[in-house]
Amino acid sequence: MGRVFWLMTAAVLGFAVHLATVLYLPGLTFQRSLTRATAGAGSNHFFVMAPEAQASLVPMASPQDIVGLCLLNLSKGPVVILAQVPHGLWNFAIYSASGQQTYGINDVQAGGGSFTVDVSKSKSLLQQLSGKAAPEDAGQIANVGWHAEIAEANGIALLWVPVPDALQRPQLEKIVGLTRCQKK
Amino acid sequence: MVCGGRFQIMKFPLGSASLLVGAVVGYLTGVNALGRAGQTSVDGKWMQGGVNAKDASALYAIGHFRQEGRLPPSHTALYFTRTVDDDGGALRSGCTYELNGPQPAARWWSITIEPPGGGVKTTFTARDAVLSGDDQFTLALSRRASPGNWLAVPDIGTLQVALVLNEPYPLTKASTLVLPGIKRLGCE
Repeated sequence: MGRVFWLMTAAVLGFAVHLATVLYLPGLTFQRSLTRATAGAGSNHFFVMAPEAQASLVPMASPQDIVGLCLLNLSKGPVVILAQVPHGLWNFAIYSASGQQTYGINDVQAGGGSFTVDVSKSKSLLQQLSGKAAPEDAGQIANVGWHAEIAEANGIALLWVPVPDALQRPQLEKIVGLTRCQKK
Repeated sequence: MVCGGRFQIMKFPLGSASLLVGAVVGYLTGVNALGRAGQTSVDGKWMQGGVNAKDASALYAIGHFRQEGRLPPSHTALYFTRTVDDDGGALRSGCTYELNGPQPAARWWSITIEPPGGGVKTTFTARDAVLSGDDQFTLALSRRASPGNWLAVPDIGTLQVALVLNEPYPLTKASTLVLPGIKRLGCE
């Protein structure tokens, strides 16, 4: 009886440690890497990353590319991203705090020039079941253009632009640097 | 009295040992699962990394990349890595290799050399490529400069080659994705 008890307890503990390892350890490592790569940049502020930092944080980016980033904080309400992009290939993605890509848009869908993405926290199951439409829903979304929702209060917005010619880099960087990420 | 004492002494270690073993096994299986998740073998040599949100193991796949301090690859990119040459030997910075295959079929692509697990990297992108016009692409991977397409290999011991296809062209029924081979030409 004693052995069975301890075996059961060990199995439960093992499962708990397994879950903690899978759920929390990667988050701690990633947060350290993100802090290093963003050099302590504040939330809801868009900036163009340093080439080496972007290559270590974003697998699809090389140091030659341009990567802009905004650490989203939706705890005090929606955030709007007013993106400035060059003509040609680019990709914009939003990741939740847990690392899941929840939104993506590229030049084929939005073209070149500028576009706006309104980012808000998705409703909880309880809010959805209550069925009350908040005033910021459909009507206002239509006026903004693009709308993304993430389940958590924090996230990462990423704008990636490859540089086809090294001579174009300053000009492309200047365009991407005009992007704004701010509380709505 | 003596027997009762022994029983008491043995009972405590059994509980402690069980808990310790449980915790260690839980940690090791977690680390092992994270290390293997998010990667699928393509041809026995190239591994495709990514997260399929519909997959039950997506949590592990995301954890795999976050454990390395990186974001998971974008949904619009295909991300492949490789640590062995065509003969199955580990890729080493002291050797010269020839990467050869069809021209990468994507709007933008890059080939990167880095230590396994990340670190100092050198990259060759679509903008650097000189193409021969026959849809074939050849790239020398070497510490010494080489004519044609050349990617400098940093002195880092064992290597990992990463191929990123950003917005790959859609495959038709007649075409399949063919990834380049890596042939070892010699070692110093």
